[in-house]
Amino acid sequence: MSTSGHTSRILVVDDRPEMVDMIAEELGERGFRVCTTISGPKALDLLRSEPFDALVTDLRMPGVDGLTLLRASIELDPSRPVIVMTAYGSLETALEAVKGGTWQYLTKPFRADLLARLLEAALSSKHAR
Amino acid sequence: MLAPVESSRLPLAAAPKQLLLVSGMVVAIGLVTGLAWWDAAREADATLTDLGAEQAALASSMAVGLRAYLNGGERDPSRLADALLKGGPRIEHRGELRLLLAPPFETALRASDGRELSSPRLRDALDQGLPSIRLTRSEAAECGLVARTAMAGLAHLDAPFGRWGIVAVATAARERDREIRARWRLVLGVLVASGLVLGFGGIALRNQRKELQLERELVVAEVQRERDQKLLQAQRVATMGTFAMGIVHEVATPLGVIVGRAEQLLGKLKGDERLARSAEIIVEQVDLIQNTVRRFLDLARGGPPSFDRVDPADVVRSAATSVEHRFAKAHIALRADVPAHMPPVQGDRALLEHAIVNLLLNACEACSAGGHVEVLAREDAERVAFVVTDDGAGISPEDASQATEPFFTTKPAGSGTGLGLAIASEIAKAHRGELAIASNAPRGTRACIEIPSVS
Repeated sequence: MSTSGHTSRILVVDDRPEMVDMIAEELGERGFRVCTTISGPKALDLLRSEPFDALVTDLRMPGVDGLTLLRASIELDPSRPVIVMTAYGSLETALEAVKGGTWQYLTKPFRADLLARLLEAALSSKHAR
Repeated sequence: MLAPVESSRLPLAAAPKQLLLVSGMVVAIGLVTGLAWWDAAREADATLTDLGAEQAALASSMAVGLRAYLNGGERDPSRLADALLKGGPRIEHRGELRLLLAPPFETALRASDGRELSSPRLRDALDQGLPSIRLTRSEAAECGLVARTAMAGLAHLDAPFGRWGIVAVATAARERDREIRARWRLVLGVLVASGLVLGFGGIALRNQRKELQLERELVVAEVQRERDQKLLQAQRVATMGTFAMGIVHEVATPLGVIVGRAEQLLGKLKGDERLARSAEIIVEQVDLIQNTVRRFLDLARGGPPSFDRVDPADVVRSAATSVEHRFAKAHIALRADVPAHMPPVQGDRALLEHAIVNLLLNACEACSAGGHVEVLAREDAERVAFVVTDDGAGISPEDASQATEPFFTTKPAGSGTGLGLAIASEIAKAHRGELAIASNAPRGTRACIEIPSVS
């Protein structure tokens, strides 16, 4: 399933280190270059200072939450795919209020496989554009 | 802005009814008194007529006496008159009863004391042969009686010298005095009876009013109890829902890690069927846990939280309405203040309302009777704030920092669960916001939930 060889840079944000480690390993094995952080404010700084091809973020985090990161990402680069991880499908409507950008949400827990496939599909359609 | 919230009052239509009843009673008493007065007046008139008849009988008996004198042979009318009147004082009562004689060929009437009285009315009555007439007060005084209405009884006798007239005049003073006393007795009797009726009626009415008031209070208490139960039920649902959301959130990430790690193992255990199956079972079991947690969330809330566009003013109004009876009961004034137009927020209406209700109930419990609580909604940049302030006991900085922790309470054991503010805080977090508790200068506490508005 993994598409080795592509070198897309992914920023993974979740306030739980176990989660970011697991996602980083999974995506790393599939050939993604992964940068992780467990801090919302830090993620915001990274988005502003470094070029990332995609953002994977948890929705509910202390300080700066996933919705803020999503908005910041769209503001910086509307074509950058964003995948928001939610604990319950309840905040879909809140997410839907976000206009523009290419983003999707994944309800936890999900198969790492599914995240990788979503990312690949989003990145290939981005490159096609 | 909402009007100050007051306890609901049931209409009491007793006051106009009472007014009608009292008016009816006063009219009835007036009518009875009037009738009795009229009857007494008629009775007095009849008494006067009787008195007149008595005087006429007296005058007639005098006439019989006169005839006896005439038969006695006296031929001088003047001496005859004197002789007749000589016996007068024996019959007369001073000031009350007098005898008058009208000899033939004289216009004046003679009294027993020798006075001559000129009374054209008595003369006319004698000439007309009337049995009795009523005399006015002044006419009575002229006759030497007390100045009161009097009755004159008339009789005449045809003798050789001409027609003799005999008049017996009596005042009705005693009867009149008796009548007046009787009338006052009547009025007094009616008044005492009316007073008793009114007094007892008043007591009965007051008792009835008390009963009505009690009945009304019972109805109000019942309504309040129902509202309390509804509030409690809503609180339970919201508490469960909030906990369920928290549990789902807390559990989701570790489950995600377990699934991810199990999948990693699965990939590396391709050669070992048994171990691979074990990893598969881990993933399956996580699905089971996830389903259980979601079912609990559905059960607790009657569905997952729905985040829609919500008007903050609506949230504040509904929250104030659902607790107003508690404030009325505790004699604490609740004021809700929201601007006419506010940007909507993205959220679950029921949960937000529940968070405000929790803050309001907390404020209500912090105040003593006569206290004031205010709830308001304000917009500031891209955020909406729901603020509840009270002028109650206040909060120390240490307590304020712990207030949103579950099971923290400053209330006496048994009177608070210590979950109200924790749940409000949890709801604020679910809305990407936060709850802040602080001391409110110069006294009381300020609780503020701030969440992003929909830009």
